[in-house]
Amino acid sequence: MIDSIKEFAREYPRFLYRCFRLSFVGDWRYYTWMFFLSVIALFGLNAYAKQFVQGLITTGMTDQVSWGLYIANFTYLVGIAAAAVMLVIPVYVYKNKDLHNLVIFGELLAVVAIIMCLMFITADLGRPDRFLHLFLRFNFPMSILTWDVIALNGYLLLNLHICGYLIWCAYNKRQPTKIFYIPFVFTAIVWAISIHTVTAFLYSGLGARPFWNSAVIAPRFLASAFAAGPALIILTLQVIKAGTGYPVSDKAISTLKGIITVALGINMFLLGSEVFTEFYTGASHSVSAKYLFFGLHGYSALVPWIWSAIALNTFALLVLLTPAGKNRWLLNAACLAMIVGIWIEKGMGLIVPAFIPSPIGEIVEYVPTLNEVLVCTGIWAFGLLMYTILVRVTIPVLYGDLLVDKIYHTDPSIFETKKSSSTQDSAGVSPEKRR
Amino acid sequence: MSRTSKNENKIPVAGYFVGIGFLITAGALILTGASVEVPQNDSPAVRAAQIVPGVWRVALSDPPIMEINSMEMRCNHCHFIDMKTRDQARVLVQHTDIELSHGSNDACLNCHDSADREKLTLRNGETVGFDHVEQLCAQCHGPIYRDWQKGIHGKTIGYWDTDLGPATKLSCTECHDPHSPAYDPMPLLPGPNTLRMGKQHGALDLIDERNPLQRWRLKDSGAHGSSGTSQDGGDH
Amino acid sequence: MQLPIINQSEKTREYASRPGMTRRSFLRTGTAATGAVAAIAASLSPLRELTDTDQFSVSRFLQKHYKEMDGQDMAAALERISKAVEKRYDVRPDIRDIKPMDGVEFVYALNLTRCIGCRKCVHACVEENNQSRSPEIQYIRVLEMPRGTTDIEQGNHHYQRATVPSEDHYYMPIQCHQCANPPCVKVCPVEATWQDSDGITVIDYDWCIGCRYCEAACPYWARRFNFSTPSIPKDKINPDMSYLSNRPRENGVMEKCHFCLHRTRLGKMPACLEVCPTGARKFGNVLDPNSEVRQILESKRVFVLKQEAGTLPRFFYYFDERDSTNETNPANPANGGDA
Repeated sequence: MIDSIKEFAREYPRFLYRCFRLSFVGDWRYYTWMFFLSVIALFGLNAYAKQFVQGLITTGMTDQVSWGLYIANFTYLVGIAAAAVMLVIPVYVYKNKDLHNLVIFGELLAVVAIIMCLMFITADLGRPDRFLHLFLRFNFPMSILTWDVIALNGYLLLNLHICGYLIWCAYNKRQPTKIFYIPFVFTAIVWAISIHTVTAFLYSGLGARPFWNSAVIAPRFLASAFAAGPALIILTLQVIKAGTGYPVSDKAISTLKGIITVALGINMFLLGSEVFTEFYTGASHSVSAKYLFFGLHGYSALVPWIWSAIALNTFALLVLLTPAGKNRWLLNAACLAMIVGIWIEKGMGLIVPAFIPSPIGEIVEYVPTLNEVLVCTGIWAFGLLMYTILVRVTIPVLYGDLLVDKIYHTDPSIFETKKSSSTQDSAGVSPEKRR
Repeated sequence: MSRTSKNENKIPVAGYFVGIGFLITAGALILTGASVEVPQNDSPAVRAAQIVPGVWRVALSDPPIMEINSMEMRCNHCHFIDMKTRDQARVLVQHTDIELSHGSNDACLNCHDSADREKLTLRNGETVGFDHVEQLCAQCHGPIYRDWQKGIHGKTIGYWDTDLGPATKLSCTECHDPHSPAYDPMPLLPGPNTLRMGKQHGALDLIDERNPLQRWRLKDSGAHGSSGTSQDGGDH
Repeated sequence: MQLPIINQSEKTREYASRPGMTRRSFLRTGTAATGAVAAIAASLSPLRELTDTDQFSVSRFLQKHYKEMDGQDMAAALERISKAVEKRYDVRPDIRDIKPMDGVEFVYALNLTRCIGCRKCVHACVEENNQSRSPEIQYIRVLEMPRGTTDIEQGNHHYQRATVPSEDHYYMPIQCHQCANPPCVKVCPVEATWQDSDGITVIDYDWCIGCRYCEAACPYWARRFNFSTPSIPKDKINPDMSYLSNRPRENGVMEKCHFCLHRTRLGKMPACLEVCPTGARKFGNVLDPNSEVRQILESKRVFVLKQEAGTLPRFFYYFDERDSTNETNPANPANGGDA
């Protein structure tokens, strides 16, 4: 026991160090990509430093529209994080074989998405220097925001544990012990639903904002998350396959395609229910919806956004439902369309209009500033950077190229297609056998 | 094998490129400046005199003293004889600065006592001083007087907790000019100017179809109001 | 499980493309690292502008939540705040921590028949409470309401006229309603805002993290956020301050109307009432049966805004029971006396 702890204490830092070193190794495409992301992230950091000094006045937010792009991105990314369960459920509950070697990428995506969520929340805080106050006076269970703090950080820890444990085992050429991760996987499934439900309750619990105060918000959030998240995973898997030759079967893609078709359909249905209730009743509570879809008293900044979101989602749904979806390029276009469409629908279409008009009837429109956009793109770039590094170190481990007792011979052609036969020889555990 | 050697040549070069690229980025970041330009408000033009708290109007004291040619004069210094009876038409030689606009109450001696101009006259023939003007007003304005007694009408300033300090309940004439009691329209102070407010309605009203009165008025005026806005004013 | 260990020489060679090219690899790693450090330093360079170091001092960092401070802690906090105010505004403030009085529950009542929309209350409040002039923060918003409706969404916030009142409108000032069931308190993640025993919902400006959840939760749009460090002309500072009310705020925290608690908890009337030229504003202790507000609640037809929100406001509106359409018409003889 003592020995194994000692061994862990010695080997684990070395593992991290090797991963760290490995993240700087790649071919010219890798360097270009990472450099590009780093520059955008640095510009974001620079914009955030300015915001930290000058205050949130550097954003387009006002007392009227007091949440903007940051919270919109946060909400969207909670959905992306929660969507990892759309890979986990088929594999662990329905024993799906096609997704089995891919589920780790979904979980890594969840880790990155949650970290990005936390960054967006921090960017939105007026006094991030006081975040310790959360630990000193935690208004639990009254404030839904405290629920969200628990839900998000809990989900982050769960996924870090699951990914970390599985990769560590592969690195050590061990079969993972079920008791150390299966219970966590099932907890994470429930937890994933809860993070997005709690995030939806953040909004739907506010009686002051009739636009949000609707029971359908939580189901809508889940449906849109389970559409946009797996769509993003479909695109990511293809990039991973093209870049590293990691096996991604067509059946896996089509399983995910089935999931996003249903989820997008449900999402559009729920949006339709919402729109019907708002407009058929004709109550004055529908002013925000009126502003969003048609404009109000000559103010109509969000109208093009929501209609383009609806157009994108409709296009995606049509592609998915018809034989056109069998064409890989059209499928990818549909995925991209719904990723963007749902981003608009949840950000510009759900967060911002609830503030317009203000609770006492004032119409002030919201336009993000350049600085605010730079912070957002910076966080996105940093997220992609993290995800690239995680995938970059995970794949050699899964291949058996990076193992505890094996030197990783720098083959800068890591992004080149590998012959699977050589992989199997060198790896103690092949990716397929891993679970 | 040729592929490997090609890559080996590229990797070292990438280090230099990345380093130089980051240096260029650093330069670009410095060039963006240390701060971003943010919107500024001008302080609203409000003079201290426009927001003086407390008494709104200086009422006459009891007994009233007027300053005429820098001499302090009391009413009865002039009015030592009962010159007019109250059914005579009012032809003013003095007090021409007083504009009487008190509805049907249009004669001086309705309120001022004919015998003692330093007193006010009540209906029952009694007189009260200027410091009890509310008894005079109450004769016509019963419900208002009732509200005023309870503190509902009028204004109480100073302390709400009279154990801690004095509460001053303003009398009728500390707000209203008894000769012209309706409030004159008054200039208003500047409106809000929140950041990034964009264009706002200003003095224009929105015609809102949810407001029944506006809708019916539009019909009255021949329904020309499809323009959406109408200038506020007395044209209705 | 005993794992074979890679020997040291193998380890160092692990990521080198070719053994023995350490000088070139050092050079290129050095170039990349220097560039990266320079770029990170450049991106963080705006932090040099951080001049108001008091905001980030150690004593400030260790300051406790208002409810956990004892007398000594509070004295130290007040001393620190005094110094900061003096340094910034050249005014030595008289700053205290004023607790609610026993047996007092404050209520505000506003007579909509009397309000003429002159906005004196708005600006008196700004002066009394050391509110930021740029960006502009005002606790009171006066709505010009067209006759024929009580729907505040039809109100005009930005009316500009030569004189008020306009004959065709009535005026509705809105400020914090000091709800008995305040949604803003419920949602605050760090308990930086709470309702005191006299009904005033207060904010510990030194505890707020600036998430603006309360601003989203308020149905009366009563809360304001300091989007930047407030700017107040030095000659306009009101030195009569208290910890929970009108001491100058900092960048990134919420603030709101607190019924002028530095006045009202000492028995005085709030500033908006003192300046009102028509006596439309009424304030007092509703637990005192003889108080003006209690008399109004007992005898007038009062209403609250957005009752359906379930917030139980302590801010009541009422009209006088009269023919209010004639009231502002000077030509109407009946108007002469009562207006």
